[in-house]
Amino acid sequence: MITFEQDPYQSPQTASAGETAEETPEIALTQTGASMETIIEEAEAKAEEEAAAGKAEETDVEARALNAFCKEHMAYFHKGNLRSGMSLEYDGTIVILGDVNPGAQVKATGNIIILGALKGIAHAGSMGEPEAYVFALNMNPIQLRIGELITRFPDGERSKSLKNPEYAYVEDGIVYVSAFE
Amino acid sequence: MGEVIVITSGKGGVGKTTTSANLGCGLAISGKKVALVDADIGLRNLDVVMGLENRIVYDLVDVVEGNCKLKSALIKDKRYAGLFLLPAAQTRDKDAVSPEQMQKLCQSLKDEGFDYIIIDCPAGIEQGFKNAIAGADRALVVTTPEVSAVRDADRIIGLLEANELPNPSLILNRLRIDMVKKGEMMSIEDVTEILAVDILGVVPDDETIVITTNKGEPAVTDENSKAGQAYRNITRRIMGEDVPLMNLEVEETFMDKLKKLFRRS
Repeated sequence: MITFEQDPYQSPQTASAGETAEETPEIALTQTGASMETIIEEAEAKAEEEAAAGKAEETDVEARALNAFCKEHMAYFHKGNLRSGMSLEYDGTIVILGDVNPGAQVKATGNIIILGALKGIAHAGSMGEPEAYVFALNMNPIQLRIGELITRFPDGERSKSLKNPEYAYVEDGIVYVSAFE
Repeated sequence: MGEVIVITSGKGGVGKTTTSANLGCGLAISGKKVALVDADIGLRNLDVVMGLENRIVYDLVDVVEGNCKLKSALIKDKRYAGLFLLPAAQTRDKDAVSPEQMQKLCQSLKDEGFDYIIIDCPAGIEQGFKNAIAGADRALVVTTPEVSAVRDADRIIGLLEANELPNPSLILNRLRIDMVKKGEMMSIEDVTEILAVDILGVVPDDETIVITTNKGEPAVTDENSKAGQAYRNITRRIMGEDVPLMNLEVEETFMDKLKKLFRRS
C-alpha cells in the first residue's frame, strides 16, 4: 500500500474530514500490515484442513509463506526529492534516491534508506518495530522516529556534508546515530 | 476569561507570522498564559519562526479530528513558561478544518485557562481566513505602507465587519521614516486616513527582524532591536495600558551628515 501525496488538492480527502479519525491511507496500512506469522498460521491452518480432507498440498503452503515473507521485505524505490508537505508511506522498506526536505515525511513499516540528505521527518518501523533503522548520506532530520520512539537532535548545527553517511537504530529504548562504515 | 485575537492581513508577506510570534512572546514575558495557534494549514511557518519545529508530534488537524488530546498537541516553548504553540498540519490543506471546528477549538483553549489565544491567519480571503476568524473575539490587521497591502487590508476590514468582528486594530509594519520624510512612502496618517481604524502600533523596518526570525528567536526578546521595542509597546497596549507611539526618528550619524553635505554641494 503506497500513498504519495504530492499535491494536497489531488489527495483523496473528504472536505469535512471530521469524526472518522485517521486518513484512509493509514487504515489501509493496518489492514495490509498483518505480520508474517499470522499469514503463515492461516496458511498452515488451511493446509491442515485440506490435509485432513485428504488433498494436502505442501508446496502451496510454502508458496504462501514465501509470498508473505517477500511482502514483509519489499522495498519501494522513490527517485527524486521529497519537498515540504509531501509524505511517503509504505508497508515495507523505502529507498529514496534524493533528499527529504524539511516539512516532508517518510513513513515505512520497515527500514528507510535515503541516498541523499534527510532534513525532514523519518519514521521507520511505523507499526512499532524497534529493529528498523534509518540510513542517510547526511543525517539532519527535524525528527527521527523508530518504532514507538520519537526523538530530535540536540539544538545546534550538524554537518551538511554528504560524505559522512550515518544510520540510526534503537538499543535499549534509546535511538542511536552512528557513522556507517 | 481568555481572549482570542486573530492576526490577519489579506496580503501575504506583510508580517503576520512575525507579529504573531512577537506578540505571543511579549505577552508571555509579561507573565500571561498564551497559546499561539497556526491556522495556515499546509504552509505552516510559525513553528519555524518560534524555533519549535523539531518538537511537533501532533498538530491542529489531529486535535480537530480527535486523534489526540489538545494538551498533547500543545508545544511548550523552550524559553517562556506560559507560552504554548499549536502547530498547523503540513501535509493537509485548508479544507481539513471547518469554521465550526475552529470555534470549538478556541473554546477549549479558553477552558484550558489561557489568557490570550493568538491565531496566525493565512494570507487570502478563502477557507483558511474563514477558519481563522471563526473563533476570534478581536482582530488585528497587519499592513505595510504600500498601496497593495493597504488595499488588501481595506478588503479584510470589510470582511471582518461582515463577520461580526467590528473595530479591528491596525499594526503598520515595516515603516521607514526616512522614506516617509522624503515623500517616497505612505505615512502613518496616509494609511489611517484610508483605513479609518484605530492604530495599535507602528513597527519600523528593521534588519534585526530578519536575523531573529532566521534564528528562531522573536525580536521582542532583543533589547536593542527597534522593532522589538515596537512589539513590546504593542504588547502593553493589548493588555490595556496606554503607551504613546514610539519615536521613530533615526538619529543622524556623522556619516549621514557628511553625505547630506556632499549632496547639497
